[in-house]
Amino acid sequence: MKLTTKITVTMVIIVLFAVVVTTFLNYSKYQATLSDLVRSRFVVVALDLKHTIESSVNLGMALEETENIQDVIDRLRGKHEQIRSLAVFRVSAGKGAAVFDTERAGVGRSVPDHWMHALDRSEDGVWHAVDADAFVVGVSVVNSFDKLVAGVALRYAKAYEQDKVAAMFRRLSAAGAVVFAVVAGAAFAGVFYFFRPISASFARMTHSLQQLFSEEEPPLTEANAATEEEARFVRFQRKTHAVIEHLLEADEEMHNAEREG
Amino acid sequence: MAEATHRSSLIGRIRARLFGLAIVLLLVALTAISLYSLSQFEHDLVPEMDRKAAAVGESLAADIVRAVDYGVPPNALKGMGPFLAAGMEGHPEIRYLAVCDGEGAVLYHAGAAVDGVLAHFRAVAAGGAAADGRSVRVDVFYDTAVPITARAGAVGTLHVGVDQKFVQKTLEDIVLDILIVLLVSLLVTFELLLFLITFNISGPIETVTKLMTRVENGDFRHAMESRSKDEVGQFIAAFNDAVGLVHDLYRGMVRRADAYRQATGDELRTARRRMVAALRQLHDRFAFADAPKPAVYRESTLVDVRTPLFIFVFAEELSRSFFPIYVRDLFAPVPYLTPEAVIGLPIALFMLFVAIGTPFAGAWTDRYGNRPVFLWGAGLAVVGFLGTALAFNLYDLMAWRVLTAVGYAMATMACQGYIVAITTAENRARGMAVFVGAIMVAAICGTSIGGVLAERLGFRATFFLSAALALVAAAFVHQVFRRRESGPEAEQPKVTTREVLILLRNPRFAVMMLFGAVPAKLILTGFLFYLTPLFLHELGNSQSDIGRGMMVYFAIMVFGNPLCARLADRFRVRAPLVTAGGVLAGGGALVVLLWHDTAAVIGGIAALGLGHSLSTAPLLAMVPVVCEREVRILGQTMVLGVFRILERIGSVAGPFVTAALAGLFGFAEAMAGLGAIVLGSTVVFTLYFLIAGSAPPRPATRPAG
Repeated sequence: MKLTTKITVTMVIIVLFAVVVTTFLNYSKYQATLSDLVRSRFVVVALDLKHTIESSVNLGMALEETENIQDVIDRLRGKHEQIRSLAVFRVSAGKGAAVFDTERAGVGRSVPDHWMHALDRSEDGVWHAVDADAFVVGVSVVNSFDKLVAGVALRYAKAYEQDKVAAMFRRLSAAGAVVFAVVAGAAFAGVFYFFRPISASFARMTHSLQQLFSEEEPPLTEANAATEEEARFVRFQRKTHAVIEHLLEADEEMHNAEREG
Repeated sequence: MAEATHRSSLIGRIRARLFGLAIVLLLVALTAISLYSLSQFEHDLVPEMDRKAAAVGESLAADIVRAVDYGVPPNALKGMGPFLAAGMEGHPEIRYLAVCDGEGAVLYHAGAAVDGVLAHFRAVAAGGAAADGRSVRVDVFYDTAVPITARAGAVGTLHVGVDQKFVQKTLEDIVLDILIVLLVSLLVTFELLLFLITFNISGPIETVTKLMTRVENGDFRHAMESRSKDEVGQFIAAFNDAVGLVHDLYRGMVRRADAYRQATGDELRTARRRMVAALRQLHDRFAFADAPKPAVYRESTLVDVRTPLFIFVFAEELSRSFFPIYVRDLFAPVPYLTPEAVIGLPIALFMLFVAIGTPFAGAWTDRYGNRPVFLWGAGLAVVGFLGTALAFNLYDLMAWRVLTAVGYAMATMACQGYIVAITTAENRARGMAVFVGAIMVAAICGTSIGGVLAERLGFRATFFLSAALALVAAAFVHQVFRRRESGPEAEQPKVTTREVLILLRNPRFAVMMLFGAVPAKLILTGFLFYLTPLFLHELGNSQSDIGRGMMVYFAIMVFGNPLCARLADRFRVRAPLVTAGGVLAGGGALVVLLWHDTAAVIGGIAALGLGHSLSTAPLLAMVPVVCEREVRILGQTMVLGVFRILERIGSVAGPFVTAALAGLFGFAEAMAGLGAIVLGSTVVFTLYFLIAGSAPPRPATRPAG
C-alpha cells in the first residue's frame, strides 16, 4: 500500500468514526428530547383525567360510581389517535385493579406489577413505564385526605415516537453518509496534495539507496537534493558508502595480511 | 541536537500536516452534521411543543365547554382567573392563558400581559389566522389557539402562549448539547488519530530519520523493524539492507581476525596484528553491533501509554454518571448504616482500595515490570466489570468493585511506571502531563458517553462494554509495552509509616492536608461522584443529561488546570490560589441550597471544576515549600508520594460524610453541607498560612566569629 493511500485510509477511518459517533450522539439527544416532549403532552392528558376523578372522589363518590369516567376515557382515547388505552385502577394494599378501561376486557384485571412498582417509586405522583407495545404514563389519584386511592395509566403507541425517531435516524444517517463522502473525497485530495511530495521523496531516497550496492553513481546527490531531508539523506548515503569503502579496504588489508602471513 | 533539529523539520511538518488536515476535515464534517441535526430537530420538535400547548388548551377548553353546556353564559363564568392560573401550573413554558369571545375580545386571562397579542386574537376570531393547534409566533410568544365549541356552537377561543424564550432555550440547550457532542467526538477521535498516525506513519518516519542521523555519526548498530510495504516501509527495508551489508562485512572481518587469535609463528602474528589494527581503525570511527545481526531499534513513545490508559480509564468512567443509581437499584440493608450510607459504600470502597492498592501496585511494577502489572490489573478490572454487570445484590457488587479498584490501581500505576521508565528527569513533567491529560480526556468522554449508553443499553450492558474496553486496553499493552521497561531510574520510593509521621509532625503540612487537600477530595467524591447522579436523577434528568452535566467538571479541569498551574508558577502565588479555589468550590456547592434545581447543580459542578483548577496545582506546588526540611531528609518524590496517599483520605471519607448529610437533610442540603465544610476548611487554611507563612522559619544563623 502506498503511503498516500495509507494516510488516506487512516483519515477516512477517523472521519468515519467521528461521523458515526456524532450522528449516534445527536440521534440519542433527539430521541431523549422527543420522548420527554411526547411524554409531557400525555402527562397533561392524564393529569386532566386525574382532576376529573379527584373532583368526583372528593364529592364523596366511590370510584366505581363515577360512571362518567368511562365516557371521558373513551372520548380521550378517540381524540388522541396515539393513545392505545386509558385505564383507571383502584389501588389497595399495594395492588392495582382496573375499574375503568378503554379496552373493556381489561376491567377487573390486575394492573401489571411494573406499573405498581413505578407508581410506588414516584415521588411527585407522576410515573412512567414501558410495556411491550406502548409507553405508559401514569398519575396517582388521591382523595381529600391526600391518600392514594387510584391510579390513571395512559398507554400511548411506541410506534408514534419510534417512527419519528426512525425517520430522524434515516435523515441523520443520510446526512452523515453525504458528509462522510464529501469529507472522504476532500481527505483524498488533501492527502494527495500534502503528502505526495513526501512519499515521492521517500521513493527517490529508496531508489538511490538501492543503487548504493551497484557500481553506478547514486541518483540522489547533493546537487539534486530537493529538500533538507534529501540533503541529509545524501550525507547518510555518503557516510554509508564511505564506511563500505572503508570496510572493503580493511578487508583487502586483512586479505593481504592473510596472504602474506 | 541534530536529531532534535531534524525531527522538527520533517516529522514536525508531517505531523503538522496530518493533524492540521485531520482537524480541518473533522471540524468541517462534525459542524456540518451538527448544523443539519439542529435544523432537523427544530423542524420536528417545535410542532411537538405546539401539540403539548394544544393538549393543555384542550384540557381547559373541555371544562369551559362543560360549564357553558350547563347553561352558564361564556362571559359569566366564575373563578376563571384562578382556574386558568391553576392550568398553567406545572408548565413553566406557558406564559399566558386567555379565553376570548367570538370577536377576539379577552374575557378571562391569566399569566403575562397580552397587550401585544390582542390583534392576533382578533385576527383568529375573524378567521384571519389559524386556530388549528399550530402555533404562531406573535410578539415574544408562540400562540396556540384552541377553539371552544359547546353544544350550541362556537363559544370563543382559548389562547395558550408559550414563551418564545422557552422554545429558544430548549433549542439552545440542544445546541449546547450538540457542541458537547462535538467536543466529545473530537476528543475521542483525537485519541484514535494520535494512535493511528503515530504507529503507522509518523512513528516509523521519526525512527528511521533518527537512525539515519546515527549512521551519519558513524553508528551502524541498529536496524529497524517494518512490515509496511509503503514508500517509508520500502525505504526502511533499503536502509536495513545497507546497515545489514555494513554489518555483514564487519562481522566477516571479525570472524577472520578471530580465526587468527590462536595463531603462532611470527608471520601469522604479524598478519593478526595488521588485522586487529584495521579493525581498531574501524572501531575508532564507527560503532557496530556486537551480535550476529544489527539490533532492532524500537523507540518507546508516550503514545504507547496514552492510548491504553485512555481506553482503560474511559472504561471505568463510563459508569460515573449512573453508578450511585445502579447501587440504589441493588440496595440491600446493611446493619448500622443508613440507606444513603449504603449507597455510598461501594464508591467509598472503590476509593479506599485504589488508595491501598496504589503503593502495592507501584512495588509490583518495580518488581515485575509495567507490562505484566498492567495486564493483571486489566484482567482484574475485566472480572470486576463483568461481576458488577451481573451483580445480584449490594454485597457481591462491593466485592466486584474492590476487584475493579485494585485492577485500576495496578493499571494506572503500571502506566505511570512506564512513563517514568521512558522519560528522563528533563521530560518527565511532560510525560506526567500526558498521563494526567489521558485520564482527564477519558473522564470527559467516558462520563458523557456513559450516560448516553446507559440510557440506550441499560446499566448492566454498559458495564459489559467497560469490560470489553478494559480487554482492548490490555491487548494494546500486550502488543505495545516492551516486556521489561523498568530500570534503576524507574524505581519508586516506598512510603512507610515513618515517612508519614515525619511529615505529619510538620504543622504546616498537617494543616495543608487537613484543611486543603483532604476537603478538596472529599467534595469531589461526595458532591460530584455520589450526590450529583442521585440528585440530578431525582430532578428528572435523563442519564445523558447527568453524564453531560458531570462532564463539565472534567472539561473545565482539562483546560483550566494547566493554565492555573502556569499562573501559579509564573506569579509565585500558591496559597491565595488555593484559597480562591476553596471559596469557589465550597461556594458553588453552597449555592445549590438556594435554588434546588438542575441549573444550580450544574453551576455547582462548574464552580467545583473552576475551584479545583485553581487549587490543585498550587497545592501540590506548596508541598516542597512547606516541607523544605522534610524534602531534604526524605526527598521530594517521597514527600509528594505521602501527600498523594494522604489526600485520598478525603476520597474515601467523601461518600460516608455525604451519605450522613444526605440521610439527615436531603441531597441539596448535603451538597450545601459539603460546601460549608470546604468553605470552613478554606478559612482555617487561609488564616493559618496568613499567620504562619508558607515556608517554615529558617534556623537563626550564628554571627561569624
